[in-house]
Order: sequence, then structure tokens, then C-alpha cells
Amino acid sequence: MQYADGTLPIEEHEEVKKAIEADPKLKELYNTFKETGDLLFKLGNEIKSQPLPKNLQDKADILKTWNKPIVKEVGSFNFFGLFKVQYAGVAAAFAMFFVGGFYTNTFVASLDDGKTKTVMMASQKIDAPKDLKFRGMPSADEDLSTRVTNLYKYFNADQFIQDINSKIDNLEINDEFESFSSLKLFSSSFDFFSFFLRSITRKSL
Amino acid sequence: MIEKLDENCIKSLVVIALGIVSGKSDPHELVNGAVEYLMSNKERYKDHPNIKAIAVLKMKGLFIDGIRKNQKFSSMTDVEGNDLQIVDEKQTDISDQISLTDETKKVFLAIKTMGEKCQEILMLASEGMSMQEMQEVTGVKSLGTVLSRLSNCRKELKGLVA
Repeated sequence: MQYADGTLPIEEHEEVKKAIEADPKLKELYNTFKETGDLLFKLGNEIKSQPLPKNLQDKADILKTWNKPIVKEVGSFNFFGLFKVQYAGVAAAFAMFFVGGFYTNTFVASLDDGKTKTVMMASQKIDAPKDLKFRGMPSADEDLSTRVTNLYKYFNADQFIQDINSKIDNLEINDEFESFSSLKLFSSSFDFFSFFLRSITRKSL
Repeated sequence: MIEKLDENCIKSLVVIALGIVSGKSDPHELVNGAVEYLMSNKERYKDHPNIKAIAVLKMKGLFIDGIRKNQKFSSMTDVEGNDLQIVDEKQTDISDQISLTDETKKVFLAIKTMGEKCQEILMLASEGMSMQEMQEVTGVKSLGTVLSRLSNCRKELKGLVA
């Protein structure tokens, strides 16, 4: 029966085939299994091809949503779905145009008090106000030693050197490495970054 | 795996249910009950390796429950003392509800005349189940018993359709 159904292990095929060929009774049995196997296969397929009743079809539809793979949508950026990106782009262009206008060193002036409706562009250099204070900028009266002291409040130099040396010692030419947490913290500091680059170059040479 | 429970699986369950009900009740109702059960116990069976076997066993349970319910009414007798046959007309002949070709309809009707065990195993075979799956679903202890039962039923079927 398994031979007729094609489920018999392949290593047993030859033996069974010879036995069937040699014995007419086995051949008849083989034909019976072959025929009934085909009939059952057809019956199963025809029943499966029938549409499901509505209640079952509804459940199949629900299951389809369960089994749907979660695919991350890689589409255009949309800020919380509030607006379309192309509109945002136009708005940003307008904003840049107007804001940029206020930061230019040219301005428009009417030279004839608006009598002829003629305007001319004049140029004037505008100096930044001296008392304008930016956050993060060192104040003018702060000396270098104060700055260095302030920096070392947040920076453990020994720890940094120890961390970086352990990485550098294991580094080979053309090696790729991940960013260090300590380096990340002070990546804005040019001094330490250049020190790091110098160390790598020395090692490579 | 619960993700194996899809439309194709439901259609396979309909084939198997036809072998379980033996024309005594609606196979779709059995499938519906089993699918509902699996859907409501999603977390419990989400990692089960053979979700179809669970569904088949549930269908069998539901079928037996249905038989037990009907047995309460089977003791009813008419005025002459004869047993009343309570037959739901919707369930009289499922083969009328399925459009089959003449050849397969003949096979299906022949299977319906056979014993319950043959009906069950032949419909499992027509669904395309392997011997191991049949053994699991039928609850037969040895694979040899499944093989010999299927072999005998197929010989009987051949005699009926010849």
C-alpha cells in the first residue's frame, strides 16, 4: 500500500517492486491500492475546492489577519500623520526664505519717501551686539585655567586614558571598532579627539 | 503552531469532519466548533506542533457531545410504542450540499455506507494525512494497526465502487 501511495522509503522500493512483478496476487493488490489512492485523492481535492460556509469563511478571514507577517513600512516620513511631507517641504522652503531674509546684511530702503514708489537696495554691515550671550559659549572674562577646571569636573582623564589604551592595544591596521562610551561623551572636544587620532596613527605606523 | 490554522487547514478539517459525522450531523458545525475553540485558546496552543490533530480531536469530542444530546430524544416513542427517529432535514445528506463529480460522488456515497472506523480513516487518507498523523488522530496504539485498517478499508472500498 505504501509503495502504491509513494510513501515507502526509497531503499525498499526495489525489493517491493520485484515482489509485485513476481506475484500476480500482489500485483492485483497493488492495483487496488493505486486505484483507491487516486480516488481518495480526487475526493479530498474536490471537497477542499468547495467554498466554505459564511461563518467558517469569516473565521478564516480573521485567522488571515492573525497570521499576517508584521512588515515595517518603509515609506516617506510623516510627522505623526499630521501633514503630507510635500506640503511640509514647501512650508520649510518659505520659512527658510523669510528667516534667511532677516539674517542678511542687506536691507531694502525707500529713498524718496514713497513718492515714486521706487525702492532701492542698500547695504549695511550689522555687527552682532557685544552683550549678546549664547548658551554654551565661554564668557569673555573666564580664563583658561577656569575653563580647564570646569572641564575636568565632568571628565575623568585617568579612566579615559585607561579605557582608550586597552582598546588601542588590541587595534590592528584597518580594524573597525565601535564607538566608545567615554569618547562619545567628549567627541565634541577637539583636543581629546585629536589625541585619540594621534594615538591611532602612532600605533598604525 | 497556531499560524497553520488557516483557510486551507479549515478546508482539510471539513474533509476529516465528513468522515467523523457519518451523515449524522453537519460537518461544518463541527469544524466551526473546533476552530472557535482553537481561536479562543490561542495562547494555549500557539506553539503546539500539530494543531490539526487538536482540531480533529476537538471535532470528535463535539460529535460525541452531539450524539449524547440526541440520545435524550431517542427514547421518545410514538403512540404505537415505536422509537421516534429525530432527523434534522438540513443534515440528511451532506453529499447533496457538496457539488462533486459523478465519480467522486460515487466514492463518497460508498464510503458513507461503510463502518465508522473505515469512514474515518478513509477520509483522513483522502485529506492526505500521513500514517503517523492518522495514528495520532485516531488514537490507535500501533502504526501497524493503522496500516492494516486502512488497507482493509481500501480493499472494501474497491469492492464497493467496482
